[in-house]
Parts: sequence; C-alpha cells; structure tokens
Amino acid sequence: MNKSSLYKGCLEPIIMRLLKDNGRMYGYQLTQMVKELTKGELQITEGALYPLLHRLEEQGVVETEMENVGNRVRKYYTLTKAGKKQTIAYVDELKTFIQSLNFIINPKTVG
Amino acid sequence: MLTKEQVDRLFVFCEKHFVRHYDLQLELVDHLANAIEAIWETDTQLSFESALDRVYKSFGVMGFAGVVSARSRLMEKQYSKQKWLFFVSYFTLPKIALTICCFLLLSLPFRFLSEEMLHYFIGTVLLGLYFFEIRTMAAGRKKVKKQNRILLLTAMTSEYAWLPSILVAQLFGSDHIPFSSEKMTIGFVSYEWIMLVVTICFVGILAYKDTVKQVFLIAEKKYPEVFSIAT
Repeated sequence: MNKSSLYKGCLEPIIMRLLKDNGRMYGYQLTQMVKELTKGELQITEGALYPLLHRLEEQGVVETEMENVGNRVRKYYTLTKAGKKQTIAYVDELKTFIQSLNFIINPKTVG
Repeated sequence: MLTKEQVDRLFVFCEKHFVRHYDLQLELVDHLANAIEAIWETDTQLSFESALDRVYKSFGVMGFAGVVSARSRLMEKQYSKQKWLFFVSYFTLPKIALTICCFLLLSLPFRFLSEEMLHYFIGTVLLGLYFFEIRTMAAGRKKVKKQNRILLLTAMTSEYAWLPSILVAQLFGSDHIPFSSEKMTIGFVSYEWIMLVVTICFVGILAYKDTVKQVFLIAEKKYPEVFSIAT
C-alpha cells in the first residue's frame, strides 16, 4: 500500500501540532522537522504543505508574519488562539483513531 | 547564505515558472534558498543552477502549478467572501440607514414629478450609477498599477466583472419587456421595485469599494516594499 495515502488525512494535525510545540515556523522548517522526527518515514511535499498552510491561514487557524532574513523575506506561521484550541481537539481525535486502529491490528482475545 | 544576486535569480526563476505574484514568490524563493543552502552543506562543489534544478525537481512534475492554483482559488474565495460580508453590512445596523435613505431619495420623485420628468430622472440616475461604477473600478485599477510588483492579494480587485448598471439600463432599453407608460412600471414591476434594484446595485458598488480599501490596507501592512516609490 502507498505509505503517503496512510498519512494523507493526518497532515493537518501534524502541522498544527508542530506549530503548537515550536511556536512560529516557516515552510521549509516544517518539512525538515517532520522528516527528522519520523526518521525519513514521512516526507511532506511542497505541493501538499503550502496549500495546506494557506488554507489554515484563510480559516484563521494560523497567522503569518514576514521577517527579513539576510537577503530575503521569510514568512513565519503561528497558531492563533482558535488554532491552539483546534489542535488539542485534533490530537485527541488522532489518539482515539490510533487506539481504534490498534484494536483492529492487535485484537485481544475476550475472557 | 545565498547572495542578493542569487536570491534575485530565484525570483526570476519563479517568474519563468509561472509564479507571477510577489506574495507567493516570496515564500517559494525562501523555500528554494533554504533547500539550496542545505544541499551546499553536504555538496559544496555543486553549482547554484544544478542545486536549484535538484530542488525544483522535488516539487514534482507539476512544479509550482499546484501551489499557484491552490493559492489563487483560496484568494478568490476569500475575496468573494469579504465582498459579500461588506454587501450584507449595508442591510444591517448601522449602514442600513444609508441604504434606506438612498432608496427613499430615489423613490420620492415618483410622488412629485410628472411622467416626462420621471423619464429624465431615471435616465440621470442610471447614468450616475454607471459613471460611479466606472470611476470606482478605475480607482481600484489605478491603485494596483501603482504597485511595483504584482500581488495576488490585490490582483483580485481588478477583476470586478459585474456591471449592474448596465443590467438595469437594459430593462429600460429592451423592446421585449412591456413598459407601461401609464404608471411607470415594467410589466407588473412598480417604479419602487425598480429603484430598489438600483439601490442594491449602488450598495454592491459600495461593497466593492470597501473591499478594495481593506485589501490594500492589509497589502500595505504586509508588503510595504511593493508600495514604496523607490524600486
């Protein structure tokens, strides 16, 4: 089975969780952190990341600020107050999902 | 760290690959620059162009197209939503007072003017609405032209395709719609209903004007370099 299709629905909570834990981050930093934490198992493509970040910004889940870094301008993303609340809900949902999946993958015998 | 010349080449690269808007270019240029710098940490001998090629390949066969189209769709949605919210605000407190005053001003002449004068009045109102619309659109386009870079955020404001005054004018110009000269009606539609449509068109133009103002306020705050006179 294609690994990326397993991760597809989890991208949003993953990105939001990273922003919650690390404060403000920029796009490239997010891709590298995911790759690092998962030891290369999950690699977020730019084609998936930036549309997601822009959608989260439009929804008011994240806000952005521009900062001059050397010879260029960098766009940082931060969770808004609503975004932080949503992240907690998402992570709880994800934990329940993983637990439910575990019941199927590792069924315990009754009794 | 990349030099200024190399960063400028990244902007040209983005432009060449159909990323025409500065607000999106900024983000992609930073991403490309970071990725090139990361490659150079392990492969110091690789040329700038080769490193850029390698980084661009990681965007897949579609290149920047997916990012550009997703961003454009989102901005259109955001812009339409904001225009709608401004339009609705003219039917809620406190702006509804302006809307009602406008409607009453347009409806009152029906009580006092002769039929012949009413024809001239309606013609004047429609002409006025048309010129107000054209002037508002031109002002929006002028603001966009003053920028020294194209922003996706403000580019939307040039695409005001709705010309309500032309639609209303057609009501009076059309031979197919029965126009009763007795009671200034179009079929069964009374003069007041016609002026209500005119009022709604006027409010639509005001909503567009408010949206343009807000969009430019955000753009000037986020991208001041685009609005500075020196390039």
